[in-house]
Amino acid sequence: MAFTKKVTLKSSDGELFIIDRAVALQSRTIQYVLEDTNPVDAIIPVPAVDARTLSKVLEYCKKHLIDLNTDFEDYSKWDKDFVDAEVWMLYDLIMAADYLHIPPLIDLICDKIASMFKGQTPDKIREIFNIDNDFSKEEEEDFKKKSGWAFK
Amino acid sequence: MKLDHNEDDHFDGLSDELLSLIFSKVLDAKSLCRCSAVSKRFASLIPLVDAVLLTVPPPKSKPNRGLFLNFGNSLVTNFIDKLLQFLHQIVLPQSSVSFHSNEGSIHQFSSQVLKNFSHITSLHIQFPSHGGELGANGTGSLLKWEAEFGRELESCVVLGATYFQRSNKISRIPKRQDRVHESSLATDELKLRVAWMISCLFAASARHCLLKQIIADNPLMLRSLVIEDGSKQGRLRMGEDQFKELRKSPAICIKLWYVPLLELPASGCVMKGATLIVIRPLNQMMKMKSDGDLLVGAFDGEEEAEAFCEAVKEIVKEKKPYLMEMNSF
Repeated sequence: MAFTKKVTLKSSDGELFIIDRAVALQSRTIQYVLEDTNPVDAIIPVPAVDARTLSKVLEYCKKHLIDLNTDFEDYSKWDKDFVDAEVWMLYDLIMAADYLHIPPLIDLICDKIASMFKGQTPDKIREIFNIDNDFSKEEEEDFKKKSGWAFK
Repeated sequence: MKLDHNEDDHFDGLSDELLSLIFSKVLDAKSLCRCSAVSKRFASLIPLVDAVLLTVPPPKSKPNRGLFLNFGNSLVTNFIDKLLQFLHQIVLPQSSVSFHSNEGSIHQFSSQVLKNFSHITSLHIQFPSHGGELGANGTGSLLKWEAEFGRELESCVVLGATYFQRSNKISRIPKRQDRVHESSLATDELKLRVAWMISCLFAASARHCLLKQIIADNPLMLRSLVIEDGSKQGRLRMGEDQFKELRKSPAICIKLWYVPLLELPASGCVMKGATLIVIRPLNQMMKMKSDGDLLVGAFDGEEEAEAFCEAVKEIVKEKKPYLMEMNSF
């Protein structure tokens, strides 16, 4: 019976998401809240995640719950499309997945970001992810001397 | 909607744990090294990754073909010849083989790269394919091996075929030929199998030898290791228990510091013929505290502990220790 119950989540910007309890249970954070307080028809606030990101996270949770019959191949294709997103979206997603504690989703996004590091130059990585270069010229030269093999 | 996001450093908000998790999925040693040039934060986290794939670049100049074995089959000869070249790369002193400007052998290259990663538990080394592998060329033959090692060889499995076709359709011609020799191997055929066996064992122990050198240089706490070549002909595997066995070395290491006259200004003492000795089993040195940590805690809580601590510190500062290794202790 528990699986038919609904749970309401409230995003940081106030939007309400009414979802199946089973979908929500994929988030361990929400699972703990439900176990601890067992709020009947209460609204669970998710203050760290905005509506846009939360809807995307819930899309993932629904897919990975409902399609238990889907074979592995199909999942990996769906997952690949799911993380084929812009960097800021990936960032929002991983922060949300971390806050909501959904390990498979964290893994998926980490895989994606790791693949974006592969074969890139440090300059390109800084550009893609908007990272400041906090090395001095001397430190950079020193690094290239020591690890020149990595830049060939 | 996008603009407000573009201003941020996308990793600022990410915890070290998450960023480390991302790095542990990169695997490729070269990419990881490049990542450590991105920012100081990246540089501080990358040495902590636990899984690395090390792809050894192909040699630029080919070493001399010093040895030539004739097995009566040009393919096999070629293969063994290449294998010997590969061995040369491992065995020869640094000056005689040039990789890229400053790297000597595969061993030195690996050690140099692995110095950047102190926390690896899972290592995968991939050699360049040296082009002479059977089955790697279009002739349709196949040779694969997989070996497991602890301290010594534990097992080696070899799979070979003089004809191998990657297709569902079974070609009739080779099948008919095989029927003729179904029951027994002709001498030449047997020779070929022996050559296969020797070359696979050769390649396996060469890799094990390389591994021991790498481990000796880098006190890594590996739990799993795979060494294979680019064309995936052969694979050496080691698991956690096998590493334990490899480390089970009866040898102990003795370090001895000697300072003829030592003044200890802080505690107002003087020592003559001051001697400090640290005795530890070699395998302990890999996983336990460093000498520094060990010495800091030594003689704590004793009378005059202050003077002893100062003496230990000063002696270690003063000069390098004499090193002794003892086996069968």
